[in-house]
Amino acid sequence: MPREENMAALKLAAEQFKARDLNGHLKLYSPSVLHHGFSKRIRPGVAGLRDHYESLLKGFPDARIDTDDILADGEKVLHRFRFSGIHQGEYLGFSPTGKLVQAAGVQIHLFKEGRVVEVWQVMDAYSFLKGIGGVSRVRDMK
Amino acid sequence: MPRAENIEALQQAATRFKLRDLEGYLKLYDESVIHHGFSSRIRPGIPGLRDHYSNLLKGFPDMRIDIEDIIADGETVAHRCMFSGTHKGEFMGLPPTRKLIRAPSVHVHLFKNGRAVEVWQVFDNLTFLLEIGAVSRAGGKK
Repeated sequence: MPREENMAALKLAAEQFKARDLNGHLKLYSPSVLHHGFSKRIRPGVAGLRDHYESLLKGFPDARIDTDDILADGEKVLHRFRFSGIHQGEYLGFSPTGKLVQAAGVQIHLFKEGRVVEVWQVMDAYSFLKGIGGVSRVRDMK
Repeated sequence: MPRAENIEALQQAATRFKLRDLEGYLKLYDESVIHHGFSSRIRPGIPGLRDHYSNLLKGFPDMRIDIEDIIADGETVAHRCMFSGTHKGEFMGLPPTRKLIRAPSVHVHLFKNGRAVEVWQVFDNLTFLLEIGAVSRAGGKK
């Protein structure tokens, strides 16, 4: 059943990320993977994802991705997670604040023959940017 | 196997919302529903969801939530959506900007006996909040 293989591939990728084996983690993706919802500035394909995660790990060397839920449906796997990390290095041009940043996110992976060919990410980007001092409230809210 | 009746219930609810039948939409939810990832100021349960959507409809009377993908697994059904609407009415205490705003989101619904007992929203709120003028960028680049 593709669903079991796909979920196993995703779990392996998560473990590799945790162990900071970024090359291993990126094997999850087809080189020409289409990605949506990451920083607008990243390049297409797995090269862009590499850039994204390298920057993230520079800014948040202790970054954790804790899984809240995994759903598998045909060739798709949805991963709902919480990102957390202390802003210890420069990130997106923001000097380290030393703050703990936590943000909820979802990634939906479309698999083909055991690799991810398309991935959609939706993040609570406001919480993330707030944590690094990248936004200021115009009025009291939330 | 995902339950067809849950997928169907969610589709029907989406149709009712489109027709502006908010009470009909809210029948999707069990009275005890636990919601996550909506504004932190909303009340628990269905009353909170009612407030959330009423406020959204006041601020964005022409709003749409277009379903771009459905992932269903067991008793859970997730929608990847795109919110779009013109900021024509007051929202979060801010005057209308008249901007057309689009923001992606994911909603994950956990069903029990045909109704949603728990719902998680993950929403790209940064774009949304920047566009309506609730927050502004501070420092850095990007």
